[in-house]
Amino acid sequence: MPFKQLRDAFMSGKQWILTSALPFIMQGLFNPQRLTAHGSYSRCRNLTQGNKPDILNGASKGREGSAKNGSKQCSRVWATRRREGSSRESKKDYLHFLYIARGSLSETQYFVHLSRRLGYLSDSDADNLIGQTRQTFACLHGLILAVEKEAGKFGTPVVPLSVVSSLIFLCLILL
Amino acid sequence: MRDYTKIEAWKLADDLTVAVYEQTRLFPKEEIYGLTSQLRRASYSVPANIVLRPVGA
Repeated sequence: MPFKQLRDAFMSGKQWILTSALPFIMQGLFNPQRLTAHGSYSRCRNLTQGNKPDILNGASKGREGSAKNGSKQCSRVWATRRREGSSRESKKDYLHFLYIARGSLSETQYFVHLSRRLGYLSDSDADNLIGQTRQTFACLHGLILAVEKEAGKFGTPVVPLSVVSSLIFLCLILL
Repeated sequence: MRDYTKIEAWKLADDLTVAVYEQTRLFPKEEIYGLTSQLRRASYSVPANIVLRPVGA
């Protein structure tokens, strides 16, 4: 309960607890949808705790260190971030992830090149992968431009249309 | 979250990841924790980051 946390923080006199707990307390007080009652939060929590015998438990032993562990980690992160108040809910945040994706794509391109130089990939296979990365890069670049425009990063109009139309109207009246 | 499978960039990145996994299967054993791992990680990071589309975006 939020009041209990607040009271405990005051009673113990530990200011750092109060400051760290305050965002959660305020959120709990003023958010009509309580976090624990939030559907996505509870689903993320269930996934993290493994309450459901989900597909991850059926993963092979060899995958425990990679895909299985990664999925569990991601689900835990999601549950945590839902609790933090979903700070990702904006286009600028999404752009941040798209830039990371673009960086990873460049990284992939270099690793393919390196694999060819080391003789792990044949020329045709490497060319095929490089072609795919270029195609993906072009498409991803388009997506980034579209989201940048939506986010208003570069596409802000200098003069609104209403101002232009009123100026034209004034000119016509004066003439 | 919107339907990310309709994003063209995601489809291409997904295909690329599958291709990278298939190609790196034949890499030498000594590269399992080196180049193989890094190449796979970089490739699946691309569709994973495209998927992370927030609700408001």
